[in-house]
Amino acid sequence: MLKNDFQTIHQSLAIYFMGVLIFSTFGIKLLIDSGSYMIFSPFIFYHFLIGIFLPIILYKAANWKQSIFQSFGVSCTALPILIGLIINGNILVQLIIFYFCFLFSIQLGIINLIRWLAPHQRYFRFFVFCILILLWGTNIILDSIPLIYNFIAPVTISYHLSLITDGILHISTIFYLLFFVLITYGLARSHADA
Amino acid sequence: MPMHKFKIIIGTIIGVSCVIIFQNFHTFIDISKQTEIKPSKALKSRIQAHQTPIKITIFSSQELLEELNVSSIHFWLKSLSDDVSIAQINPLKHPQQSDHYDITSDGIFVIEANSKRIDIDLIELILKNSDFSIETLQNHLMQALLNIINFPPKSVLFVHTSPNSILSDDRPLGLNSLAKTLERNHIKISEINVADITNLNETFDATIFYKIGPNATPNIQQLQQLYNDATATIFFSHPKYALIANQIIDHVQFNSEIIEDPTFHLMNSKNQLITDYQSHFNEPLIALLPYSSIVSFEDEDLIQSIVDSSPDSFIQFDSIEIKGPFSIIAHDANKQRYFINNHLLPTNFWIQQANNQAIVEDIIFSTLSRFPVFTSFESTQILLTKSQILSFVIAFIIVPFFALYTIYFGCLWLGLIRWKNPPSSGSKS
Repeated sequence: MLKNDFQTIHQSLAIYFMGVLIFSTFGIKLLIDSGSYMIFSPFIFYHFLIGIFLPIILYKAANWKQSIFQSFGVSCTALPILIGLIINGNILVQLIIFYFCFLFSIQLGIINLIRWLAPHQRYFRFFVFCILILLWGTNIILDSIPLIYNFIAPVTISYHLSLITDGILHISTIFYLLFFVLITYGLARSHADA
Repeated sequence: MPMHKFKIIIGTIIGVSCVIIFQNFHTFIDISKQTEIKPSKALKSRIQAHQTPIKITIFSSQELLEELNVSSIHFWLKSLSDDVSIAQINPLKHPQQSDHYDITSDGIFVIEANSKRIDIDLIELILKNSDFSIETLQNHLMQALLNIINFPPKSVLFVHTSPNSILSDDRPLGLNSLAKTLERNHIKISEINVADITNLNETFDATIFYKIGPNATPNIQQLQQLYNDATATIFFSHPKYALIANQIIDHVQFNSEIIEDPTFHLMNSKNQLITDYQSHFNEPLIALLPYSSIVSFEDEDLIQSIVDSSPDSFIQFDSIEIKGPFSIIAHDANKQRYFINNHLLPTNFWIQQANNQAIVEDIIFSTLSRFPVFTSFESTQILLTKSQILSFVIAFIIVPFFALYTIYFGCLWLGLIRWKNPPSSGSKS
């Protein structure tokens, strides 16, 4: 009986245990490699990449609200490392709060995109993945044309992520999050209304 | 077109436009630990008072800026003033524009205002400073901006006892390089012989007394007066003429005995000392000081030593060997009066050695402008012991596992989640 109970608990928490294992192991590796607590930028980059693919992986059409909760929850399993960095005085709590607001908004937007595409497209996960790559943006191509870079860069996710990792809470980032969630919500609703 | 689609298209256009437009506003909150990106009020007000366009062209690839962790410098520069315009050009991808500015390498900041130009080379800063960080770049940019916007330009008086011009002398012991350095930084320098100081009717931001020799004896009183009236002074003393220099200055005594160092010296000469120097931007620099003597003082609250010889150094005094360390460069508490018992440091030959050029610039700039300095953030270093790694595993893996269990049972107890029945074995159907 007791064995079965623990099996149930493990099944419920398995995804979070995996999250803790992945993020903490990677964090410990970075701490050992760098020999200091200055690991915020590389750790956040890795965490964010995993974080934006979580909604695509965990999406369940029948219970999309649970997908949002699970994506948020698994992203939060990086908190032990981030709390460690806060305690050792490398980052501010405000930065972590804002970073998670940024990540959650992007995850919410991705769930909305999936809700918009899932009923029409058989390969909706692949399409969302392609949209994400476009939204991520790349400096390698755009950097060579400064005028275009100035226009395109502010609408890419990587640009705003680099601002946040530098500790800059820019007004355009707030607008970006706001409009990203609202527009994707509109798209998701367009399907629901139809 | 259905109304809903129309709304989404309009919303997307408005959203993207807002993000692009608001990107040009310099409104942001600095949430970094160091609060490094926020410019100081003093610097902002100085630049805003200038009211002349300042153009900053960054000849650098984005990759280099990101690799050096200085990509956020754009935001700091933009938020200084609306008169500051910034352009970034990759010199490798745009060779024509680079040629126009005479730029041949990656990582150059070109600052232009009032038909003046100052270049800052990132790679040079890294080579000079092993602890390079964004704060180092900020300090150098701040200094360059202050030098370029000063109107009228900062002025320096150069007093010496030589019958001929020293600043135009390009021989190894001339000071032509020093004059060019100041010119490059848009600082006006006027050269005067001690015999002519009675005719002086201008005021200067700083006065440099260089190698005041026996020719100055008839003008000692005027020199004392000039020294006392000056807001900032730098005294390069020749050890041989210490007695004459001591008649002009107060609180400090220059000595004549040459310091020798058996450990930290150049080649086979024990007189060519290698010492550490901490710039007023907190950069560790290396000074190469030949034929130096001691700067002695009693009141350590009033005068502080900034360059000392090593504990192995010594001087010969009446055939007695006196052990160091000895002070070679000192300044007062306000960093407005510098005392250097070495006259070779700014000469054309020796200024090129080690970090002497940066040291001379640092001394002159710190007397001309006193400004808040950015200090780099020091990270706690991890000692990789077995117990440390074990504590990481406990703190970052085992404790979170227990925390997850606790949260789970807490949610069960509060009724936030329901207990799921365990799956019965063999119930595949």
